[in-house]
Amino acid sequence: MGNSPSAFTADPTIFLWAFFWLAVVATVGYAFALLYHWIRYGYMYPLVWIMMPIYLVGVVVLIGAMLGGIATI
Amino acid sequence: MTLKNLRDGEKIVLVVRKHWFVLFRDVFGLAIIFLVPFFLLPLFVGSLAQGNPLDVPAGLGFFFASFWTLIIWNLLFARWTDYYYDLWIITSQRVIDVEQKGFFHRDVATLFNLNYVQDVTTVLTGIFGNLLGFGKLQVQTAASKDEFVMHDIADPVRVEHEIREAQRKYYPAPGQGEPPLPGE
Repeated sequence: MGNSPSAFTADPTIFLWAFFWLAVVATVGYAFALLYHWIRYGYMYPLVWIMMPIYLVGVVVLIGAMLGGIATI
Repeated sequence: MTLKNLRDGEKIVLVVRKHWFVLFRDVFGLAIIFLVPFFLLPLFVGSLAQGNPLDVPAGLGFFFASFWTLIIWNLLFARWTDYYYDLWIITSQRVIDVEQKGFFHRDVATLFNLNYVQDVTTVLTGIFGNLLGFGKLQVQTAASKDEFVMHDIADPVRVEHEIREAQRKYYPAPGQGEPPLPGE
């Protein structure tokens, strides 16, 4: 009895998922604010049309990298 | 550049931003913040191990490196947007100040009308200001607020020249031209 495994054995990745969702929520907030400003005032600021895909590709790659990190554990 | 709220007959003479060093200084600060955990965490983990091999999965390091990079990535673009969206537009009638204060706070206002400019002064301060040629531009006007300062402006001597040229071209005699807008 005393040596039986606990019924509450935690998934070791649950901690990482918490960080993952924290990063996703923060990124959604930033992405919304950035894209809002870039699209709304883009007619005055031509560089935003170059920065926008760079930013979005970076976000997708980094979120993918976090998922990759979790997957390898 | 196009601006939606120009007056009739108003032409853009020059668009001025803060010097690139202002952005570089902030990005450099972010780079330091970005790198700190990559130096501190191995030391911290090493001290926990106390000489014994500590089995840290590679995926864990990869995950947190990506997490931290994503946070800094967001901050970097937010900072760039803040820098890029701050500008002064010198037109044939006035100087317009466009100021982005973080997100969702944007001021577009007439800083001063050219016909009220009395004196323009440039001040370069500090080593970097003198080496790279940026500083502040002070404009004395005859308006109710008598002095306007544009900080960390790139090439203030050229901007001063452009303001004086525009004033001379469009308002040959002081006080001529359109009356100031209410509240100016």
